[in-house]
Amino acid sequence: MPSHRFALLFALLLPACTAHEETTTPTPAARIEVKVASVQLVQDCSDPPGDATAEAAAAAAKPSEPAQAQSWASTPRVAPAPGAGAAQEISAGASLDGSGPGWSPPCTQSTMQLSIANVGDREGKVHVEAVRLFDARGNKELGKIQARKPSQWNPAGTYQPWNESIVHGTTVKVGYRLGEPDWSAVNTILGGETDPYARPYVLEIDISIDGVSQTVRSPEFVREPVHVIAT
Amino acid sequence: MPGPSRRAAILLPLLSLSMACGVAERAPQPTPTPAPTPAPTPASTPQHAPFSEPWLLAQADRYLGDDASPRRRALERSLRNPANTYSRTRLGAYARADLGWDLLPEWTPRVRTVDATVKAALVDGPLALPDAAPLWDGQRPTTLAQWQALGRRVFFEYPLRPEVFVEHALANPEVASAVGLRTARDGSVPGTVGFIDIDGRARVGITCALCHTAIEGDQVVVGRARRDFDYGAMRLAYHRDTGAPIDARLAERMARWGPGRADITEDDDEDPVAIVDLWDIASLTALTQAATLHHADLGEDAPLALAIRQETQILHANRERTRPPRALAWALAMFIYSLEPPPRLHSSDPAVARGDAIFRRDCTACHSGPTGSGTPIPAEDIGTDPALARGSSRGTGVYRPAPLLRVAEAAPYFHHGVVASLEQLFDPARLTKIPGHTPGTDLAPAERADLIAYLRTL
Repeated sequence: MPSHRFALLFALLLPACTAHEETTTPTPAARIEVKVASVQLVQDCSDPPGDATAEAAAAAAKPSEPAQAQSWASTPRVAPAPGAGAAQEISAGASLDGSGPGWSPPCTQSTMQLSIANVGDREGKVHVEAVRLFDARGNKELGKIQARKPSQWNPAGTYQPWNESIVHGTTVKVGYRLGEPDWSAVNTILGGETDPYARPYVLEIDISIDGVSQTVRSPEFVREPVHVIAT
Repeated sequence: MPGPSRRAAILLPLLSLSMACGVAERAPQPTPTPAPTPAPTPASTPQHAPFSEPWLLAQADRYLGDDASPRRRALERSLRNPANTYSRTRLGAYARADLGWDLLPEWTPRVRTVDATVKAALVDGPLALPDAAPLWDGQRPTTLAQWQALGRRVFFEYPLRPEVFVEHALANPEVASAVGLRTARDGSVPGTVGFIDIDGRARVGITCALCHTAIEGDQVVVGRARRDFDYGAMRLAYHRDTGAPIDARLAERMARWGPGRADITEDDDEDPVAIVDLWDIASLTALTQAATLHHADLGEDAPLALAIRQETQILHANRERTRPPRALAWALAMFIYSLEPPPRLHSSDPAVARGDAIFRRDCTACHSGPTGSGTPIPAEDIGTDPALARGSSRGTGVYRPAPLLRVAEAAPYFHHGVVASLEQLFDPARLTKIPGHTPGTDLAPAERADLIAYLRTL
């Protein structure tokens, strides 16, 4: 083949190859390390309506995520306590249905806390894809749990809504509210043990980092009855 | 193929899991571990008397250092039964680099004393605490007195979670009065604190002082169990007054707690315990009625064990979303060590001397040492309700002999607070209704009276 034809072929193929690389080579995911700090599995509570900003942030971060069940409206409604103005603060959602202030059943929200470090050189995006409950003794998968409402710890001493992005060179302490597994199915898998509260569990969490999934496990925890004040 | 960090992230928890599984497969009735051997003192550590100021300050350096290994070692040495829930959760989550509670954010809450202003806000609503201030300025104390002063603040002001039940009681004085939520002479309500919660809302929470500070007339007796405080009744009052639903079985259980008792374990067993006094904790070889923790026999790890108990108790009570700065847990431990009982009753009554002799003859096999506690005893040997000792949460198979400092003021007796008086304790008729602890019930009436006279002087 004449040399000028090689040159022509090379000239034609080079841009194509370059273009091919640009379109098919995945952008490296941010280098992000995820560790599980804690899990408390108690109850799944209605999300306070004041969390509108949190919902907006979560929606912006996860536009394809299905809408979370809003159980607040189904929270049992109760009569207001006579002369107890604290009810207005405690049951902020009571006005949702226009019935005025009232007390709602106490509820302790299940949560998990993560420590996420971005040790790379670019911003990363994380997303909790799945949360699975395991029996810590038999390592059996017991069910799935939905995580929602990502929040981030800030130095002012509060958790604030979080859009699940993390800049490089930083570590964030974050939390997610957790739904409940199907406890009847869990009990069936465990063979109908009498005290599901005494049993140790762990969570296995699939986390997407810029689209690349990794899995982490939690420390052991127990399902805590609502009545105790553990000391 | 997962990278090294991912493999570690998966394998390390699995390793700990498999180790934990091995522990869990042991006999259902946990066997108490023997008393730990004293830890060797590093040659470089100056020799100071245990619990002296320089000794405690040296241990503070070990607890507060960046190296987690002293805390991990103290935790492992302190747990009597590694298989119970209390132990497993701590072994799984405390002083580990790869996961667990060390990764939680530190929280120094902004707090405010609960007084008439806060009470009024609870009635009129909404509650706001614009003058709430950080509980701690972040400056580490350098003397024992400074540690104790900071610990006193933690004892009275670090919230152990917000409590809607307390808020309701404070907003309804008749409820507060009925359940023993008392106001001190200075207008404060010891055991409650206004604070800005981690969701940014102003709330009222409970503190250590709620159960471990008694209000007797004008006196606030710090360290004494608040035996007239009925936590179950306070919660039931909330449900009664608001109509908020409550499980009928749970309501029955709370009604059975009564004053000075509450169920404090993580399991679903019905095993409420009596609130305890906090006198001379430094001398106790075992902490909690079920002797869940080794303590005084741990040597230099003893104060670390107590601080770890406080640290993990606070973070767990706050739903494991934050942890207290470790300095605050240490300060709390130092403050607890400083608590002393009120002056004892002195008596020249000959009955006291006779009772002393009876005590030495019949009681010191179990009740010994400066507090009158002693080596934990198998629950079946004591014969009292074994639910706590055998429970999955705190169970060790044993009970700690009750400390006897100011025992005459510590009724009701037994770990679960079911014996009303010293007279009933030694009354043989009691055994048909409330079994257990037979020593003393076989004494002649005159000897029983002498023994009780002596116990009233402790």
